[in-house]
Amino acid sequence: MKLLTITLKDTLTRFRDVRALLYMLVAPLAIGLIMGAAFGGQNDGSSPIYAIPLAVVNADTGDLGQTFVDILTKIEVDTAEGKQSLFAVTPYADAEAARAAVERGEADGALILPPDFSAALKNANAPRARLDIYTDPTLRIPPVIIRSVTERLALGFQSAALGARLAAEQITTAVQADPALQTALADLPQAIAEAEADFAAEQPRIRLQRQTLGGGKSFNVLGYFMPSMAIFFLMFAVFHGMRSILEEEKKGTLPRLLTTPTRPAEILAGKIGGTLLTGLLQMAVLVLVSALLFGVHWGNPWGVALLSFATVAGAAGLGAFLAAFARDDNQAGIIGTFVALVFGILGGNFIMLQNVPVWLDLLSKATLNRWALDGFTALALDNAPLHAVLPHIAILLALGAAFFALALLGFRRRFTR
Amino acid sequence: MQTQPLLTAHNLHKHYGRVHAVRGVSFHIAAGEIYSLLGPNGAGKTTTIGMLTTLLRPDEGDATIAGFSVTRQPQRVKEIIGVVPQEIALYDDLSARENLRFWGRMVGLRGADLAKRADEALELAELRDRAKDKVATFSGGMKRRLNIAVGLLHRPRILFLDEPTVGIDPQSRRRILDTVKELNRGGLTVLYTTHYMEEAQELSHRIGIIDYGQLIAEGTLDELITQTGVGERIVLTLEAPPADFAPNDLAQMEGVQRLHAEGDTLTFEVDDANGRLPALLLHLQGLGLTVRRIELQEPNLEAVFLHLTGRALRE
Ligand SMILES: Nc1ncnc2c1ncn2[C@@H]1O[C@H](COP(=O)(O)OP(=O)(O)OP(=O)(O)O)[C@@H](O)[C@H]1O
Ligand SMILES: [Mg+2]
Repeated sequence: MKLLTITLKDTLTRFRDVRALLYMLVAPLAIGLIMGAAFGGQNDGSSPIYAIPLAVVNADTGDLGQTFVDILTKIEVDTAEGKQSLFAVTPYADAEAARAAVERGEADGALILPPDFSAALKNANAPRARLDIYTDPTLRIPPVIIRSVTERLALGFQSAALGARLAAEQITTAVQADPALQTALADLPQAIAEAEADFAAEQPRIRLQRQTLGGGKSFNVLGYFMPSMAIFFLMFAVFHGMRSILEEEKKGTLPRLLTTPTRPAEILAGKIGGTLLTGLLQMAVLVLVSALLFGVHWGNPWGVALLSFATVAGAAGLGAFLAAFARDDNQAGIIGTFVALVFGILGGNFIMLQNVPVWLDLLSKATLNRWALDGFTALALDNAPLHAVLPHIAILLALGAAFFALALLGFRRRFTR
Repeated sequence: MQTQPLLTAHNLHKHYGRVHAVRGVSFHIAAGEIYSLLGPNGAGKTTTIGMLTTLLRPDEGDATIAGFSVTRQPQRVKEIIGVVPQEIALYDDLSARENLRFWGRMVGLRGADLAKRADEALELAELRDRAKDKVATFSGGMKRRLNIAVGLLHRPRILFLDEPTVGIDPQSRRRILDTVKELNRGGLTVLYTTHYMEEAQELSHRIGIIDYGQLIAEGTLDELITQTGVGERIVLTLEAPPADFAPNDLAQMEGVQRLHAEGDTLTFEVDDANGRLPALLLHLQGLGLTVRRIELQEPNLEAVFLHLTGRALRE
């Protein structure tokens, strides 16, 4: 098949090009590693975490607040050093002090139980209690654990306490025997996703106020930087792939192709195929090398595979669009570089976008990079299952399809004789 | 060559924006013929080939190749034509053999056939020992030869060669011309464009002279010479002619059909070069001018072109 011949020719050419390999593979791996190392040897999620410093303020006027804290304190996880407490709980007098502890880096997070905590749980007619959680924005794993476990625990409390007006002792037994909590602790990653879904579904008595404290520090997790760099450098490679249509036009190989008995649609499909295959191989190499050599945890393999494909397809669509409407390959190259840079920054490939103004968040969500990165970090850092990233995949594919459709119009106009 | 024409172009027109690049070109090429389109830069040679090879859609007119219309049956036309573009259209990052295999697949070859034709093409391009080297490492002449070999892979019935000898050394040019002649002896019909007189003169059965998008004369070399009535030529180079030197009276001399003066060079078209030379030299001496160099020329394409356009056809 001629389509396949063109696809393989383009792919072969790209992987033979040492300069292309430098930016496709070497640069993302190297920069990802450097950024990861530069910001400290943070746990990348591959080994269990324990003794997470947690600042707790128990302002509850009833008895359930202390029970809640006690259970948190007693939670244990299996580690290489045997059973260890999951949290190292430090009591603080007030929310201000607890937050300050997080900001100073003494605690990874702060949990504030409100004065009406017991009252809200014991009386169905009382207003809902609000549980405040503050986490350190420079961390990735501990906040997720703190949130997930706290949420799970709050849920347990809610179902045990509501209406039953049980004594604190009985609640402790009920909550600790709660199989869901046990599962949650045994398999934290699973619990993280579950708890969030559960929490959203039920109308909670306790409203969790999650908040990440502001801070200028950057992330230091390979699980964040590797996907970021992969996405960023993928853009360049894929844009280049689609731009090569214009290069071939200038070089005369495209006109020559058009004098052979090969249909124009087949030529275009072959060029797109080459771009997709090149991008997929690039992603595959980046994922495998970073996982095998540097122990980067990417998460659910199906999720990673499908998300990679969607990212490549989305970027290829955008690349085709840029190529179709550029004056020539030079202009397409300049615009492509600009778009890749702006998208990389807006999409959070360099700076994690947290607590940003709404307009910036919206702008960010207009980029392919953001959807890809959100998907990859959900898989890598939150251990999300495949279905959790299906929306990301769908959005990337839809954007890709839309761009391809526009590109087709441009190419048609461009290459009608 | 009285056979049915293999190619017939009828009233081809092509505009690029406001540039009317080809203005009503019509000609035909018989099977087995080498036909040259001779014309200066920008005359419209490549544009004409573009329309004949289905790459460009004529704004007006049409052409048929082996009975298939280039505008209505481009796919059929593509199956029987071989195209050698003016600019080398090869993949620099692929080896010679990889290029041949790629282009072979694009013209529908596969399997053992493809391998065999690629080998033949390497032989033809004299690139056997460089088969595995990337095209990027080739000399201009080697690229040109491979560029031609690619156009021959599927054994086309007609080969379009657009200025295939531009920018290469005389040896490579010689080889290419010989190859074209040999292929033609094997029955291949060729449309050749060039702005080198000698090439057109040596290769072609018939020549079309194209200028400003129009075919201004056509025929065999002899026919062109007869048509234009160009005679033999005397080319004189003067030693430092005065700035206000006007050779008007020289043009009136007996036997001089035409005079073309450019800088210190006077080109006389005459009925009999040997017979008229002494009188010309005497006359110049009488004007106090010294002749540095004398050249006598048979009637040739250059003279035909000069006669037709009033301009010399040079690089
Ligand atoms: N793509 C184009 N866009 C605009 N004008 C063009 C284009 N291609 C050719 N032309 C113009 O059309 C005219 C004919 O060009 P063409 O390339 O056919 O000439 P040519 O005889 O092949 O010249 P050369 O010997 O330099 O190859 C020229 O005036 C040229 O500037
Ligand atoms: Mg040309």
